[in-house]
Amino acid sequence: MYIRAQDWSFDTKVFPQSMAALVIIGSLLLFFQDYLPGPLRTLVAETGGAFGKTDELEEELEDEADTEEFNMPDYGRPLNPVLMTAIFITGYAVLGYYFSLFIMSPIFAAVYLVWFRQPWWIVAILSALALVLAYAFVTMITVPVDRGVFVGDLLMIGGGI
Amino acid sequence: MAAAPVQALSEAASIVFSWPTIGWMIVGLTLGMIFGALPGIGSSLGMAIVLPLTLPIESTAAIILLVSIYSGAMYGGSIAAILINVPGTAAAAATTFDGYPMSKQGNAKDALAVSATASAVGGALTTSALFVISNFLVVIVLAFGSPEYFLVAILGITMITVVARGSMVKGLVAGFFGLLLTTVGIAPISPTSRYTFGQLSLFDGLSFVAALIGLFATTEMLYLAGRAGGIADENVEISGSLWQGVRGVFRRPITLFKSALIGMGVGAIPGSGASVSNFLAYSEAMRASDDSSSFGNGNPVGVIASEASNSGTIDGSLIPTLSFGIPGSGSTAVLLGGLIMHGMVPGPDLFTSQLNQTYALFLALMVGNIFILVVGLSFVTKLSAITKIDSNYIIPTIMVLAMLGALTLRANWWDVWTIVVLGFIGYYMRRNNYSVIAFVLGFVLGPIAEQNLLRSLQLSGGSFSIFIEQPLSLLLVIAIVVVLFGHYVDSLLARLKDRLPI
Repeated sequence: MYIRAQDWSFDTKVFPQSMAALVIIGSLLLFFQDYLPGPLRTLVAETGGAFGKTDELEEELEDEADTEEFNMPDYGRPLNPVLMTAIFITGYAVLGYYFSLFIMSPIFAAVYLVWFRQPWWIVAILSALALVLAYAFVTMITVPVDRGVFVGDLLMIGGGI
Repeated sequence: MAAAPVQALSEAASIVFSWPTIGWMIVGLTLGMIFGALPGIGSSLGMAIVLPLTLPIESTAAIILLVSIYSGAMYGGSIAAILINVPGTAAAAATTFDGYPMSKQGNAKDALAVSATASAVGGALTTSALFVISNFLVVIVLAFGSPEYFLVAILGITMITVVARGSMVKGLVAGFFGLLLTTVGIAPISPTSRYTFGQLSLFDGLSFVAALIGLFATTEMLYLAGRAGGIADENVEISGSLWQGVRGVFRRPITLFKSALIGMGVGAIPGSGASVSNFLAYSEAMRASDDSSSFGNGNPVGVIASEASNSGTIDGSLIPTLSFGIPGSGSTAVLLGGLIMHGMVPGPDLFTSQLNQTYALFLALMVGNIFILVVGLSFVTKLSAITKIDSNYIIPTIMVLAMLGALTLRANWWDVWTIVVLGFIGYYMRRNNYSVIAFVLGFVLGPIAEQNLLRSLQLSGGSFSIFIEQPLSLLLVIAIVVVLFGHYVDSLLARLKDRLPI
């Protein structure tokens, strides 16, 4: 981003270049912090924490939360839940772009819940809820969620917005 | 034309007590309590999800809806904290220390009543203070020109890096990265497209609201996916006395008042948020108590301190948000998005020509506190059901709302990609101790910072000395330097002192 800004006028480039430079410098400091001289390493690695004792209390709770987090629930699936959730979210967005969010919303809900082994009636209810929400967005808020690259105006739920 | 405060207050009352505004307030408070009671949701996510849906609603009513969600969630977070030792929001973390032990001792109703009363009364005290303070704020705000606005934006980001835990440099990198992302789109002064890669739909830049949805909704859902499916496994027994709880709060007015003010003061510091004020107020109550050893074992004073402070935080965080457009917390960052979306620009106008709308906001908070008290005391035994909802039901529902909401903003698919990509970036940042709130603040402040930087340079003919010429801007520069290096200098001096021969 810094290099790309070189061809712009001063007014156009001053802010992005300054911010890009600061991000680069900060990132380099963090990357090489183990090789920095003592005082500079302290400055880079030292925590903020302006509220002293309160940080200790907060840290206690966060340590407990972190321990819970590393004990991820086991659904008997090969991949961990966070990774699968990220994959499902990405798939939802990408397929929604091509086939419309109206079609993909209930499918996303169903696939997610089936993967995480939820009862069939929960899958049915929440998939229906997702469909209702998508329908409400099209008809009441007139958002073109019934459009997709391959679907185009096919669904026409919102009256061809 | 400036409205007199009394006239503005009467106009505000007619706004708040009219239909459908009061209806939206009740909806917001109820939603907020539910969002707050569901661990992993909270006010920021709840507000971010609802924000796109407020587009068809009248401006003042929409802002009142959002602020009511904020207020309701602060109380809602204490429900799970007291009943199952899992704070629904970070603001209720300190409530678990004494709230849950009270619940285990068979005094759950007392704890919930203390929570509702302390939240309501503490909030009422600080909202009253806000009415008084707002009359002086306009004088301060009008003293700020372009150089000062730019410096306040930078100060806001640097303050977060000091307040938030984790490496200060990481916080600054996150904040400046947020500022950098706001440069995508057409430049403010010249018609040059920046970082759009020829994409027409990027000419308006990345959506700030989509960024908030990504960072608060997507990131949280990824975190929630990594936790156990159920939140409350066992049946929660609720016993005790509501009225004993209520009386207990009024028997400790000093703790109540002090905690609320601590919350208000800390809430006004950008990035500190309710979790910091929560712990500060709790620590102070413990320090001032004659029986500090009972804290952590079911002392209701602990719950009073925690809950009064997080209500005070709501009012405190509104001060920098409404005055300078600098959010005091994640929730006020979303609120700021709502203000901008609905044409209420933070700054002097909110305290002069739009004073009636600002007072309507404060009045809604005041009335909301009464609603919280009534609902909290009347339905508290039923509210435990919320904590039993499986997070696997919440995740797909929230993500569907997030995706649909993102497309609602501008019917622009880049907003959908934004919530996905920033959601993943937010998750990575949290796992690696980068301050997400610094990043959010950078994203929020980017346009303010750049426009005021360019205006300042135009005024000075390109010279950066404009930022140190006036006393106020010089003071802000000094404040930035002190905030950045003060802690380091302090620890350096302490080390030198240790090494000196006695």
